[in-house]
Amino acid sequence: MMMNVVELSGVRKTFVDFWLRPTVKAVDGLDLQIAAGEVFGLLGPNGSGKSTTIKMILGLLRPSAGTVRLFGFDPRSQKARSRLGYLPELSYLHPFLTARETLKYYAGLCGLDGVTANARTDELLEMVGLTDVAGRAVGGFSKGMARRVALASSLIGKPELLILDEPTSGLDPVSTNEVKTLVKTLAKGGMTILMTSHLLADAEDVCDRVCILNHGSKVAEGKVSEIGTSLEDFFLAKVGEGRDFKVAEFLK
Amino acid sequence: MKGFWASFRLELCASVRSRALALLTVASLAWVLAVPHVLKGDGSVVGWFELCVRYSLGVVFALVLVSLASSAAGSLAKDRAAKRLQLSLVRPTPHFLIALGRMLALTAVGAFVLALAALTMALRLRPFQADSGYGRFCDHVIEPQLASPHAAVDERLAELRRDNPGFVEEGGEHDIRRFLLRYVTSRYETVQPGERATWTFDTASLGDGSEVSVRLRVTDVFDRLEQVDAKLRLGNREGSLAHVNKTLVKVPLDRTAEEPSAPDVLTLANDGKLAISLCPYRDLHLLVKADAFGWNVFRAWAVLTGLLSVVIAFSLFLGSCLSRSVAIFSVVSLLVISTVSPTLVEDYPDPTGMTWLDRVSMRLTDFAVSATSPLSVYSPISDLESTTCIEWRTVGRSLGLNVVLLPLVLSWLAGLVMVRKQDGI
Repeated sequence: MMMNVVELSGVRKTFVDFWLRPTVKAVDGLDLQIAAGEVFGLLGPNGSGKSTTIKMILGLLRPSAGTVRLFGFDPRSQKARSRLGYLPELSYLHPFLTARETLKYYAGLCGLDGVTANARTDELLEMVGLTDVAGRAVGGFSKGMARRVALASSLIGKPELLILDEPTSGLDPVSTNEVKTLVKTLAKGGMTILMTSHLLADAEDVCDRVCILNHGSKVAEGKVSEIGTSLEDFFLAKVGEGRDFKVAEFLK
Repeated sequence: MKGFWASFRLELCASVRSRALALLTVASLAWVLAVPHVLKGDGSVVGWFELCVRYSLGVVFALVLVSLASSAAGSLAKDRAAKRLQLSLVRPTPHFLIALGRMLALTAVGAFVLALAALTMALRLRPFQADSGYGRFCDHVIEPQLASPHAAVDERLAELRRDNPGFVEEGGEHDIRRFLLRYVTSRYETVQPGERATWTFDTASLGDGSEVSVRLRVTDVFDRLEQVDAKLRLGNREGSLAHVNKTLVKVPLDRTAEEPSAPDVLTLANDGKLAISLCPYRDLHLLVKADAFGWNVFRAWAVLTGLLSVVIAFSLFLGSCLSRSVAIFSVVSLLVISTVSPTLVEDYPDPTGMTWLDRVSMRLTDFAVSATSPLSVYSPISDLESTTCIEWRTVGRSLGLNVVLLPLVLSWLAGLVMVRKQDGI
């Protein structure tokens, strides 16, 4: 039986204000399993609870109810964190560090020794095509270059689970294609990948299985190959109802 | 520990590349070099020395303290607001090591600037010390073994209860006790002409070759200090208190061939025509020559680094749970409170005239004094300027408590708090 890398059962997250009054119910009773080696797409419109779910999987947020397990451990445990890589929606880099220093900083946080960190840094800079600008401060990088540094830093600890939040956001078509190729290559190497994306064509290209969230709840889950229609049509059918803007009425 | 060093290097890099370190270094060195030209002393050698030390290192310390406390308060708060912190928190390094690395990096920056300033000050003072002969060495200070002031306070309190029933309860025992303690410890002892007074000291550490002197502050009712004439004697050492032209005097005790008195009892024999008054709890010390000024500067630097470290640790902890501006405001407020509250407690009015609001304020101020005591209770700069030896045990205690223990506790708390402060949406 294949081991589940991520397991969410009955997960609920309600945000509260200063007086502990509930303000937003971001995730409501979510059950999710992601098996080892899978490329899993977490899809949904804005505000559907994707980022909150990811933050609970990362251990940055505690669920209000239910359990989250990562490799069978609490996501906040060091055992879980040591097997994890994360690329956030925006790159969030330290602007004064160079690309090389950024990677070495995260290598240090992953516990890599100096020699391994240097070798891994060179390897990843080569992989994302930033070797020539490795000594430049990332504060001066374009959005696409910063994105590539962030992607490389998410891979520095050789994670078994890679969580990609909108990995192609801000990238040009060529870079987008490169990222998709990279995801497929990593998956072939046995890495489990959980990604969110608004670009359904991207998800369709790389994901084995997807889960669609709407208003914090799961509205559909299944293998991409078994959907029978395009992912975009499937998505719109599940979450698009009642969301059309009244443009014609407005123009009158 | 690799995570700790990564975090340490990151903060160091931030300080260097934001030019904070360069600015602090240049400003500190410029000030230390300018002090002797900018300040005017009272014309005395001692006054000039004290002024130079106080305003060189004191101002640099204040500058470094406020700058690095602000940097520390903003360090985690800024990264959390920019969402950079979450990328570090999901790595396998324990969260407290991330905070500790940043704390110690900022402490290292402060220690570096302070070391440069202290070294420059010491070099700047060398020609003056060679010419005047003052301040080249520092002295161990031995306090007189006096009766516990608390016992005297208890006695006075019992008298008050007996003579004025209900007075203590009405005035509040805590405040009356504080008032009495101040009264007891500032009481003057008067030695009439032809009389002697004695005080016992712990002289077990004195060797035969030790250079000993007595530091005392004398007053007489007519303020005719130049007429004071007295002999001081300790074992086989003797000194003369005559031709006094200032209240604080240092009398060297030289060996004498006369019959030695008790080795631990200091005798003051008033041979003049005027009564001599002094406050033994405050103004009487035995000084034993210790080591060179340079060593004392080094120890002062270590203690100041300790004080800096605890402020940085606290600021960083506040930054882990508050926004940058609120954390900086809180740190600066606490620094002001720690400086002002001991004086407030000292100067608070007579407890018999207090209202309930005064009492509440007094309790709060008392609390502030005890909570901020690591900062306010001891200033190595005042010891340095009075050539009092900063003891190695003080340095050890300061480093152990302020550089190791308190930063560890505060970084552990910061590690707990910062992961809970991640916003969700």
